[in-house]
Parts: sequence; C-alpha cells; structure tokens
Amino acid sequence: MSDAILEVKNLKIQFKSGKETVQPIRGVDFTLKKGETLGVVGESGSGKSVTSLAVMGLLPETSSEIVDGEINFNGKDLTKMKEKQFRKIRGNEISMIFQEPMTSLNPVFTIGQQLSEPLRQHRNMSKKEIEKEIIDVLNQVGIPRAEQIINEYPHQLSGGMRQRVMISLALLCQPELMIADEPTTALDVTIQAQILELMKDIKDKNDMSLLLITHDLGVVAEMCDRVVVMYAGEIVEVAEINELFDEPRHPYTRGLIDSMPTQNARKERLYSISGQVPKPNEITKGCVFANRCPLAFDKCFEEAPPVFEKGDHISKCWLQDSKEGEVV
Amino acid sequence: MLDFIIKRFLQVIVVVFLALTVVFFLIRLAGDPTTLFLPPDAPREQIEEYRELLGYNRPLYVQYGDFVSSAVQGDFGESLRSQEDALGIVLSRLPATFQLAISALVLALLIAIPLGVLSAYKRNTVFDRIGVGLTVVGQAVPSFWLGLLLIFFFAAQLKVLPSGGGGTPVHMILPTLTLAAYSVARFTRFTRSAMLDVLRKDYIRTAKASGVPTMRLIMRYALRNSLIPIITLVALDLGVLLGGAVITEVVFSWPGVGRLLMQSLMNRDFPIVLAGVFIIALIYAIINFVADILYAYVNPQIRVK
Repeated sequence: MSDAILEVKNLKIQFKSGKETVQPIRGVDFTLKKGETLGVVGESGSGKSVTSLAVMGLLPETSSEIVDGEINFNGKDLTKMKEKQFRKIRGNEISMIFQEPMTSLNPVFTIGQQLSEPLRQHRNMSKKEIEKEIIDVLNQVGIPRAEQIINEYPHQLSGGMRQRVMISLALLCQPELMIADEPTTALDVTIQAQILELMKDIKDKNDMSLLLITHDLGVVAEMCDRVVVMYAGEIVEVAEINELFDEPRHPYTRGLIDSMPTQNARKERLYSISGQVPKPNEITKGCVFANRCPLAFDKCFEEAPPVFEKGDHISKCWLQDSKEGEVV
Repeated sequence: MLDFIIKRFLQVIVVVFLALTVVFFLIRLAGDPTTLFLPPDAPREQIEEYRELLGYNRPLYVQYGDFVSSAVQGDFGESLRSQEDALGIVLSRLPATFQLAISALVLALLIAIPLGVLSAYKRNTVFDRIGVGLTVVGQAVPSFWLGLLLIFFFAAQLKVLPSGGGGTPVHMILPTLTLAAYSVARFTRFTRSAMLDVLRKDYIRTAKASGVPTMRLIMRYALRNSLIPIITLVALDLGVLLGGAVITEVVFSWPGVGRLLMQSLMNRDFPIVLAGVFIIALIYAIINFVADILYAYVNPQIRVK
C-alpha cells in the first residue's frame, strides 16, 4: 500500500523481569493510511498501549525488546533506527498524547517551558518565535488566556485544560502522525466530548493521521474510520467502522459491542464478557479467546486460528473458516 | 507566605527553648561540677561553701528559672574554668566549625549528586552496583575509625598531611574527608533512589516523546524533581555537621564547637555546654527553616496555595 503512513508487520515484543520473559505482543499487523483515523480497541492488558509505545520508541530500554517484526513509518523501519535518529522523529513527525493528563506534565516547570521543548528540539526558532507559536497553538486548542497560562504550572490547571495542553504539545511541530493513548479516559464525560471534538477538528485541519487507542467503543464510533480489535497481544479483527458494528465477525468484538451501555437498556444488567484477559504467561495453545468464548468448540482449544480475510475485513476466528460453515 | 514564615519562626523559638530545657535537666544527672574543681580530699564544708557560692545548692527548679531568665537576655553565665563569658567562648569557636562543615558539605554534594544521577541512569550495571556497594560501606564506617585510618596513612606513614590542629587549608583536608564520607554515602543513595523514582514518571515519558535528548532529560527535567527531597536531607545533614562534628573534631583536634562541647561536658562546665547547645539548636532550627523556604522555591505546588 503506497498511501500507508504507518505499517506494523508481525510485531513481537518481549518483556523481561528477572529470569522470566513474557511476550505481551505476539505478531501484530496493521496499517494506518494517510489521513485516516485508526482505532485500536481492547480490554486492559490486551497490548494496545505497548504497541503504541513501540511505535514511539518509548518502551523501557532495559526490560523490553522488539524480538521480531517491522514498524514502517513513511517507509523507514523504526525498529532498526538509532536512538539519535529516532529522537528527530519523536514530537516532530510522530507525536503522542497520553492517558493521564494529571501526571504527564512536569510539576516543576511552567506550561510554557514544557511546550517550548518540541520546537527547541526540532525547529530552529528564536525564543520570541517559539513563544508566539505556543500561544497560537494554545489558542487553537481552545485554551483561554494563553499568554498567562504559559507562565503557570500544571497544578494550576484542571484536568481538561491539561489534556488540551498535552494536545497542543503534540501539535506544535505539526506531526504527520498523532498517537492518542486513551486521551479521554481520565476526564469527565462532558470534557471527554469536548476533547474528542477538538481532536477531530485538529486532525482534519492539519491533515494528520491519527492512531487512537481506547477501550471505549463509543469513542471509536465517534472518531474512527477503521478499527483494529486487540486481544491478549494479538489482533483478532480489523474492519471498517460501519462494518465492524454491523457485522462483527469475532465473538470477542461482538462481546465488546454487547457490553456497551445503551440509553434504552436502563433496567437490565449490562452484558459482560465473563473471565479476564489471560496474562501473557498464561497463554497456551489454541485460540487466545477460547476460554472466554461462548461459541468455542474443540478445534478452538487445539489450534490457533489463522487470519481470515474477506475484502478488507480481517478476523482471526475458526468460525470464519468456510469448512466450519457460516455460524451466526 | 509571610504567615508561613512567621509561623515557622515561632517554631524555631520553641524548638530552641525545648532543647535547652532538656539539656539543662539531663546534664544535672551527671552531678554538680563543684567536686571536680576541688581536690578529692577537700572537706565537706568546703564543698558546701563552694556550692553555695556557685548556686548549685538551690532547688533545681529555682536554678532552672534563674537560667531561663538570664538566657533570654543572652546571658549564659561564665565558664566555670576560665571565668570568661560562656556564649563568647562558643561563638569564638563557631567559625572553625562552619569552615569544616561547609567544606565537607560542598565536597559531599559535588561528589554525591553526579554519582547518584549516574548510578540511577546506569541502574543495575556494574558501575551502579559498585557505587551502591561503596555507599553502603561509606555509611557503615564509623567516622572515628575512618579519621584514625586517614591519620595513620597520610600523617603517620606518608607524612604528607598534618594529623590535627587548625589554621591552614592543609589542616582541613583530612577532617573534611572524614566528615564528608558519611554525607557522600547518604546523598548518593538518596539521589539515586529519588532519581530512579522520577525517571519512571509519566512526565519524563512526555518529555522524551517531545524529542528531548537523554542528557537534557536527566539534567533538566528529572534532576529538578529529584532535588526536592534532597534539599530536606541536605538541611538535616548540614544541621548535624554544624552542630558539632564532635567525633571528627576531637579526632583531629579541630578547634571547633564540637570539641569545645566535648571538653566542657567532661569538665562539667555547664554554662558552656548550655551556651553551645543553644547555638547548635538555633543553627539547626534556622537551617530547617531556610530549607522549608527553599523547598517552596523549588516546588511550585507548595509556593502557590
């Protein structure tokens, strides 16, 4: 695909703690096209954040390792890149918004000091130009009194404001790719909506691609063009947004969709998928989801399913095997 | 902020007062000094007479009241030995103690902070392991022993440095090293752990995600946060250093307050002991007071209420 900005191929990541090693990411493939918003959904522990950190080159150096696979950004393989080169990309061509706006800003530096960093590192600008640029961007993300805010400290701002600051930090160098890791999870619902709206706006205006990590299908429905569903370090389904909601192929995706609260279903208990995501060291043979899957049959416990492709819709479930026949 | 300063200053006064009171009663447990000033076979009447003269035959609470009322006027009485003003004697020894304490502290900081930062950055490497090992040793070695070792090697064997006394900068080298050793170990360990803690924080990841190079990440973004707890530690240690590096001063015959206190205690020269305690408690409290203000300067979350 020539219009791909980010291609992750067969990514495998290993974590070491002492003598034990685990593989939280086992062969992840996906592609993000230019100008697209790609959602990555899954429960906690499914490997969403680890994948996004790998793209940013922010995995802990001593305890983690990319054992196999490629991360191609504009044709360059980031996994083979030296730290010095990678640094020129971070915050410049790829930037990231983190989940926790409360702890993601340095408490002892002013907003202005922290925001000046990407420009300082990647642009040859004078102090005055930097300040002007920062105020511009802060205005763009809807922060009032930007001229004063740059002299304030993070603890003087509310959570929503801090997340706006984080977004402006990610925006400053006008990156081609923005990664947002659960950008609204820590925020109030009303603020969530504002922040999502803002991100959508900014993405369209700046012609960026967005990789949106979330566990909230509501956010996905609102924001994304295509969706990658991750489970226990693997991708179980990839589909275009409408197709995913209309015709989910993997039982896990169906479970996620059924677990969404709706406005009309007030009296019933919410649906939930029983059980938990297996820890990376608990994974045995067969399908990773088999032990929680309501539709699992013998084969699911014996052999891991391959990737079944139907057009652009990809899923990893034995039910998609034509030999097993179409089920539900 | 002014409220805060006034409140903390009142605390300083209370701390000093309490310290004096405790010491006043504690040293009385050692008995009164009169017997030390008279020959061992002095008749009982003479001892009583002398007690009467010095006022040690009065009830303890009366002596305490007397002490407090003159102490608040800055009068700690005269040395029982030399009949000189007790506070004056203590103050005259203060510069030597200051000199030693400050040079030990500066040396300790100059070594410990870079070492701690580097250890944290290179955690679990051979460098880090050796560093941690040395700091454990540094904290475990008692200063009188280290002092004697240094004297043995540099003064007795190599004969390159004087074994004791004060006056020239050369005299400072060994006592400074002895005094700094413990602080180096403490500060290094503390800097290392504070730094490790900070390096794991989300905001460090944020800065890294902005493309900040490692060196700048550590020296600017991480160090400043790590300094906050270190300031408290430095203040506490400086208090200890100033308040009488008693052992080090005795080992090296350093003419400072610590050695003076030690000698005065041996002689039961109570006015000097109390004047010394007063000065030390005051310094200790003031340093902590300054540390609190400095703390507020480094940590904006405290500054703005």
